[in-house]
Amino acid sequence: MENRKLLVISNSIINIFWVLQILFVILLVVYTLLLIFHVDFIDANILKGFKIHFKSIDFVQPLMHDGQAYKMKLTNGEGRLHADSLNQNFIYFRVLAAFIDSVMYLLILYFLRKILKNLTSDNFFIPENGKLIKKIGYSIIALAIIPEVIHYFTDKMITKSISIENVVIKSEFHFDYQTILLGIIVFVISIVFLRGVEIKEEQDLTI
Amino acid sequence: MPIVTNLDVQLAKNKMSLTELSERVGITIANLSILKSGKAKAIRFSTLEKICKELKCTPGDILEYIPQEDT
Repeated sequence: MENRKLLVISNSIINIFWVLQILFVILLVVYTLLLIFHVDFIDANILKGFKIHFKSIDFVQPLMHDGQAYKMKLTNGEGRLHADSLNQNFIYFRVLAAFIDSVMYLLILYFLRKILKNLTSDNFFIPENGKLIKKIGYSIIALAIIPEVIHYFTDKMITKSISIENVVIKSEFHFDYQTILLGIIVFVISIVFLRGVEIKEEQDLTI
Repeated sequence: MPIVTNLDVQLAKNKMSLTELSERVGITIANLSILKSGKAKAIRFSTLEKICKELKCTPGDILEYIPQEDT
């Protein structure tokens, strides 16, 4: 009975996520179209700047305070870089990474919805559920790796193409081991689940 | 599977139908059909005992081992 309640709750939460994620993907497509066709009715600057991670930004001029000069710098942060003459093609890679990211989420939600649909119709240990859990595991691992690889290469290209004095842009590969670990956990659970399916089948054919 | 069930032979000997056996033994016809067609993977001793009791035979009369050549 307790599980039934939990199932209904998670089902409704996943449905909300599903709708939100679809809206997000649609917005992303609209955003990309705006970028491609250079629509000017919104502040294009917001769209044009692209996110960077920087190692350090030195202020060229020291800041004056109470007659004293302070030499300052910003370190290890992220922000949007705007430059007029900058090659805007980098942003498409960023959008691509975001697109892959959100599509992966959509895929995971799709699989999860399928599993929940099976569970609500009392089909627990069926091979389809095991396969879906396995697919979720793969998707989580892909989610951890693919966007990061794209980010890494765009960062690399940006750092190569622009050299602003006093600004050091980071281009490190961010290894998202937490998400990968999560994917592996789901993967292991799917293996256990598939064994459970086998045992259930044997049990069903025992007379 | 090299193990085959001769349930139909024993049923014929006792002049009993599958439905009748299922009623007497208390197993659904669906499950007995699985057993008869050889799709079953295992059989509980309790089930075997009930069937043997009703058909007045031994497990050897119901189950038979037919050697199968490895292909």
